[in-house]
Amino acid sequence: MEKRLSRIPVLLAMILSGFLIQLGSVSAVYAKSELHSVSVKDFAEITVSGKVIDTSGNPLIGVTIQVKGTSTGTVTNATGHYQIKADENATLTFSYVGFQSKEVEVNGRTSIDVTLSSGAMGLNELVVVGYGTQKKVNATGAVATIGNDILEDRPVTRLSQALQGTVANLNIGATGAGGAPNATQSINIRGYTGLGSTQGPLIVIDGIQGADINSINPNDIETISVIKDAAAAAIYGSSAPYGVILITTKKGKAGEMHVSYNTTFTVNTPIGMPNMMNSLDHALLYNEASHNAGSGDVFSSGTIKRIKAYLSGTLKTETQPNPAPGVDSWRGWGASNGNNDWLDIYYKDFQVIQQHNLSFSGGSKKSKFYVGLGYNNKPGMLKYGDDVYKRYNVRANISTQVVDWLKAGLRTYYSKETYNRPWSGGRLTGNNWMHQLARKWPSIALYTPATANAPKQYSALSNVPVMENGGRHIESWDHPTLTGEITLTPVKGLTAKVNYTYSTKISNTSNHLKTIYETLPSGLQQPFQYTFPNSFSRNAGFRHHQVFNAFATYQLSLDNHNFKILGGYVRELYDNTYYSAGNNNLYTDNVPSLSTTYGKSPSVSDSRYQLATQGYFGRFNYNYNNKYLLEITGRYDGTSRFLSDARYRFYPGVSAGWNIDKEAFWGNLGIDQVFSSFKLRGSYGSLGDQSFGNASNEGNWYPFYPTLGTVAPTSSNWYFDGGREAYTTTPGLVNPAITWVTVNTLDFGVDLSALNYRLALSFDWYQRSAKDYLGPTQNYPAVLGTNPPQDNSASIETKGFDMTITWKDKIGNVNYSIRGTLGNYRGYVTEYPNAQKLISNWYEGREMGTIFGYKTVGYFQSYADVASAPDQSKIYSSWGPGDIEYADLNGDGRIDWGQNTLDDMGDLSVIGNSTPQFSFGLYGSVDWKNFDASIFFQGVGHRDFFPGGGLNYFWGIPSSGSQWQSSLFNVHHDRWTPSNPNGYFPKYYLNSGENGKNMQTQTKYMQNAAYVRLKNIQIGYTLPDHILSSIGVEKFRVFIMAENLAVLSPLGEHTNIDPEIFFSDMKIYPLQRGFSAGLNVTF
Amino acid sequence: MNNKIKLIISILCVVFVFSSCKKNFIDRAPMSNISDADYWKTPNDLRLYVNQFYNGLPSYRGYGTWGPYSLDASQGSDNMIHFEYNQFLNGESTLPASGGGWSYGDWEQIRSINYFLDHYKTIEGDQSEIRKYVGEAYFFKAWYYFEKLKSFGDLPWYSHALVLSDSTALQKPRLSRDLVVDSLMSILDLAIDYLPEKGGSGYENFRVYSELAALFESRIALYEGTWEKYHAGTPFGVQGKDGSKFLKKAVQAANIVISSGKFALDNVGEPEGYRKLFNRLDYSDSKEVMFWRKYDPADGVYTLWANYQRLGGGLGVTKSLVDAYLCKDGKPIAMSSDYKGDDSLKSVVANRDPRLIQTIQVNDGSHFINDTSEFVHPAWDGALEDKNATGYQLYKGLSLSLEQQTRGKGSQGLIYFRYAEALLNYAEAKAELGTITQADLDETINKLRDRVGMPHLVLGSIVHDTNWNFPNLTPIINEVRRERRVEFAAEGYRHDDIWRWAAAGKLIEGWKPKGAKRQQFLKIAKDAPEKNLIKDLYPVDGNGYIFPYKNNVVGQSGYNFNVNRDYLSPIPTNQLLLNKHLEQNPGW
Repeated sequence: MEKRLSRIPVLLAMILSGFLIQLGSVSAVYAKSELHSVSVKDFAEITVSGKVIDTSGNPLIGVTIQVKGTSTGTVTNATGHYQIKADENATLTFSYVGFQSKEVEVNGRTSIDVTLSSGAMGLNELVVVGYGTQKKVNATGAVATIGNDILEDRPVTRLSQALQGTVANLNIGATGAGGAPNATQSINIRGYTGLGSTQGPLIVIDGIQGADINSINPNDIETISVIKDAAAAAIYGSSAPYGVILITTKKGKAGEMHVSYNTTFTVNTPIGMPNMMNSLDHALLYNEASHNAGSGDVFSSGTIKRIKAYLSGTLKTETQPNPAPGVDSWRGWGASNGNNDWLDIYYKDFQVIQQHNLSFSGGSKKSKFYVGLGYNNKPGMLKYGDDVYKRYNVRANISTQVVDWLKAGLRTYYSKETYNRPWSGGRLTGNNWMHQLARKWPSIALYTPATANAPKQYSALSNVPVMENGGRHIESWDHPTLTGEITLTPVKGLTAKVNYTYSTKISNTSNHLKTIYETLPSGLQQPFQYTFPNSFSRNAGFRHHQVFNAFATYQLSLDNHNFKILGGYVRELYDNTYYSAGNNNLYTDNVPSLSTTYGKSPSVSDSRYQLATQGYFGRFNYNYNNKYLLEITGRYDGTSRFLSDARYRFYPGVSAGWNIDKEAFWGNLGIDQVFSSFKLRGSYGSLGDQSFGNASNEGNWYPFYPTLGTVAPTSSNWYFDGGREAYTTTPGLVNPAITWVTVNTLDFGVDLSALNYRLALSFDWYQRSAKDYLGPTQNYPAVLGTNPPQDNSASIETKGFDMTITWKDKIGNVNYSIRGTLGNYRGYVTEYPNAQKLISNWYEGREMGTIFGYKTVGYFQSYADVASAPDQSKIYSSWGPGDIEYADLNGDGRIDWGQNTLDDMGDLSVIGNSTPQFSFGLYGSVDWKNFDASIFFQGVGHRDFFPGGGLNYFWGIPSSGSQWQSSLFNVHHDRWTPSNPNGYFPKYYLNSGENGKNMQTQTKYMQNAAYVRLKNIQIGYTLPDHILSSIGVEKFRVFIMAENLAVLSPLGEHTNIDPEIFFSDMKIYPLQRGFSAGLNVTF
Repeated sequence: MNNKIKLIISILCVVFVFSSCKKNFIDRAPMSNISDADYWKTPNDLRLYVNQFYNGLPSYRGYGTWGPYSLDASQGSDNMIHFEYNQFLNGESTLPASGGGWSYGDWEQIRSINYFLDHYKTIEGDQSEIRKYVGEAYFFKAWYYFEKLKSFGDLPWYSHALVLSDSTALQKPRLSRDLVVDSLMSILDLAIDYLPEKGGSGYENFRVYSELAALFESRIALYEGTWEKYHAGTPFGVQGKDGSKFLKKAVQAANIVISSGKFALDNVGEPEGYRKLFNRLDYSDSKEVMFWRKYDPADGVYTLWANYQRLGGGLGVTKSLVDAYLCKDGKPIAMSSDYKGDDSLKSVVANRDPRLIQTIQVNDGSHFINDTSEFVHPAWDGALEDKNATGYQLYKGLSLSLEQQTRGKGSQGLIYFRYAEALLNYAEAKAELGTITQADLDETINKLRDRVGMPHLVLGSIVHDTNWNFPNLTPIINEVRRERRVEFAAEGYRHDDIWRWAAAGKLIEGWKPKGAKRQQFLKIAKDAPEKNLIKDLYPVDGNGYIFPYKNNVVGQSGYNFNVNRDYLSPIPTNQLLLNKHLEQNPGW
């Protein structure tokens, strides 16, 4: 029975690997049903007891003893004794701060005494590296590891959120989706990867490259390794030019089956939202700004009177029918008199989200399994028309040792994500809902009042009806991944692995736009803007990804010479297909479907892209007595992205290490009294980048094919005699010679531990330079008529360091640890075809993030000030009190930008740098008896940010002066007026391009976007063993925590925007503060 | 047994790895895009390619888009104004480092057409069909070059789509504007030749055709002819040129249209026939509208013009325009006893050229906001965009249909070219050449006057107007220009006319725009708050005329237009660095 059972996963794996082997009567379905009957009670449970001492024979108090692969654990008492229940063939792990951990197999014994020696904390632990593992002590690359302790129990949807701040120079940032329920984060290792851009690393899950980090359930994760340097990443060749994140998921362990259940309930509240001005202040400021620009009132005296009456309560309605003769409409914008803070109105005060995770794991000596189930329910903060993200995860990892030289495994993963939010045709929201909300004037009515013909209802301008009932945007992604794997160990020292993975990401999106009607004062129904005609569209995408890996490792030790050699082959195929169809005019909005539309011109389109790569790779490791370490890696890579003569490249990497502490003199000189271990490392590697700055941009999968654009009739808007017709558009220019970007990284590092292993420090300095970086060939005259194609013509360089410090100790029976990470980088352009050195473009020697601007002198307070100041007419024709005076740096009597070149930039100078500096994380944990607590800070040490003139969130009225694109918040009270001559913001000009003259990039408004945020704090309590054993539960822990509890930032004064989303245009779905309660139970 | 399996599996592994190394595994070509190699085969390929240029014509759709009847205000002219003064007219333009209408994207259409001209020769098929699309390409090339000519004057001329290695072509100096227009004339001559005639073989509605190309040619020729004539001797002129060559070309081209006999004025003699020309949904059966754009709300392709225009759209017609209309006796207001003064809207339009009463709203019981409501007074209560700026609210072009005024349902046709332009171009060019005859007037301007029942313009008996804008020019030129201003009021011609006549110094510099008299509205106001509202909204000058910019910089000294600079846009400074042969425009 057991033998037959264990064969089944092998066969599955074989099928999946593409082996066409006759399976006889054994079918996959049969196999699946059989799996359920695996006995999890193969072994008897016994009670083990014993004593733990150090090498001097002293009892050790508080040593943690854990049944390996389970969460069953205990600690030694005051005499060093312990007692624990375990399977008769389980393995016990003994760990203690400052001592080497030890694993002991029970083998049926009931009494086990253990001696722990003080020693290398974690140094013997295995670190997952590309295509294998390595002892940490022997690692020569810049590799950081994270255990699941840091990830566990955080109520985050995406793994990336949990990684923020945990690894030095692993930079996790908010994206444009901000705090939306389906938001993802940007991930980057070690800074710039392009001209001002930061690309993400390769994600490898259980040895399979190209995985999706966003759909993984953080609860399934065992460990994470982050590879930062090129020598270690070289094994992945051009797939990993900018680092690798290796994720290992949980596997079953031999022994009793364990069932574990975790849950968290979180109450979220939005944070960092600016407060809008009240309608009276808003109206008065608009009028003031309009007068400043030489125009009349935007809000008439009558409207202002009504606003005052409404604020004082004497007027009850927010708007009235427009009294203009013959007009049937409601007063709106500058003629209505409500008082609404739209951000406040549109976002809920709080929202409950929940997560549930259930896992089963166990196995026999030969077959092991882990099954994890996850459920995430994350409603968003929108008040009208819910937005909800949900995710369902299933992971099953099964492996079996078929015979002693052959192991087969099957790993399956499936996630389903759905996101459902209000839809308003895209055009009404402009795909930037936060902008639409904040540019709504507070005077706009939320409700229109009842008339003889119309009931009181939400106004059209409030957009509430559209959000509530204007149709839905529904997205779903199905993401199944299947990996079959065979591991052969035919002779001692040789391991060969073949695996094949098929993974696909199926996206389904539907958009339903309903026609929404408003009731006019007369009772007439009028469709809302942009909601007519109603429409429906469906889009589907299939992103198939196939990976085949075959590789072998041979390990040999001769005396103190240890050799390891790896060789392999990999190929990948991405095959993406998209379909899209839509039509106008639905028979009924109750059944949105393509089949229920009757529009005369449905739109249909598809697209298909393929990308194939293959490579051969090898690695050679040598170490002498674990003292002198050497690793050489190489990969020969080819891609479909280039024409055949530029297609293949070889990428080498070499690294070396020296464990100085193993030298005899270390002990002789007594250095070991302070430094317990000390390793120096160095590496150099070369990698290829074929993604041109954006791995997911399929548009550049065929960079050398000039193609004509094709536009369907339904996307055109010219009516010919026979209706709309298709059209084609002109191909751009291409460059057939483009090829790989070559990325070389030099890295020097040191790993040390000191003070009896209580302190550990790891430091790396690196220099990453990209040759042949793609940039435009040069600046061409505009008459070229199209953007010039990219060319391998630029070079860039990023330099930085990353550092991690850990301190672990105990005081009495309080164990505590502190872990700090710090990373920094700066990027430079070392070559760029900009002969004129126009500062509006990149040029050789430019530091990335450089901000050019004027130096601010201050405000003109009188026309006499203007007359005596340098001529600023190149910026704008007229200047007066309340306008900014810029400094005449070159003393030529006028303010300008010269030739706009580096040599002649007039009065511009470098006034800042937007590169985030000194990103850090700080994690502290403490446990005492059955209580545990942790705290986690994350932040950025310095970052210059200049809010561009278009940013209405910062300026209130943007440089265009547009009354429609302005957002006045309470901070904008502090502006220049004759009576407030030192106001922070300059004199405002509404409805006039004049406003931009004071918003030139300049020193006065440069912001420091540094921050430190209390990301997470939690307190847990674990029920004591004696209670648990009586109810048959292994572990029972309850905890409470808070996310995003507090933030400190110099930004606060003149903007109340969250510093984590400050750097873009700020108009981003708000982040949230969460208060959670949760539970972990293991049976 | 074991060893045997080991062997088999090992071999399988090896076989699998190497059999899968198909040579072409990493050869992947685009699967849902076409390249030049797959294209340029049949005349239909040409058709699909030139279709992009129709889509690229201005469409005035979407939020904040007022439509063509607001162009006189947005482009900057003395016919209409916005609540905010026009910064460009006030000399507030600045010199940009980049962008400014001279970027890669701004030259894209010309590149696209040249790309067509580089590729169409490989097509095989019906020659007349091929010629038709080549003619269309020339038409659009002239369209886009003309837009650039108006902004920048001299331009480099390109006949091929440029590639990176065309270093000489990329570094070309600008060609004198008259040579550019010579080229435009020659490609439009080809277009006239290649394109089907209206109603002829190969003709299709909504595609350009031979006579249309001729009308467009006359527009450009008249533009350049008058520009050269009136800017002569200034930095904007062309040395040694008086424009007569192009004026003759304008006559000849306009005559192609007129003499074809295929076109005529619509609604002649009909009550309100003039106004009814501008708010139709469909011009398919029009003899006058020569090229127009259609919309279809059922596809979501709609406009919002009527919705904006009904309440003034934040715009207003100026006193300057209103004063230009003759009285019914054919005499200017300064000379006619018919003129009833400006005290009320009703008196303003009394006894005037009927086109006036069909162009502005009057509270006379026969002007309407829409099908159910009459016009009572200018819109003065509401958001800025829902108000009228001068007291003279535009009526021409307004669709009264409630459906048209409903958001999402607007589909008024957009007129690009109408036959009246051929008549006016012909008359003006001949007047400028000094060769105009009474017969010419009867065939052109007097046809327009017949439509609205105005007395004919008689060459020998033109009444001297003390208010002529151009007292130094001949009476006939003054009257032809008046006729053009009146006939095309609010259609977006006026800005270009002022520019080509070099008349901004006379008409814009120092100009303080005015509107109607305010007192009449205070009388209408129902209560004190409404009176206050009117007073707030409409400041007045010493004579009681609404003076919208009274309280700002324009109110003090009038528009600060720079005649030595603002006739042409500057070339961005970056471009002058990239091409040392480019010279900056005068005054910049």
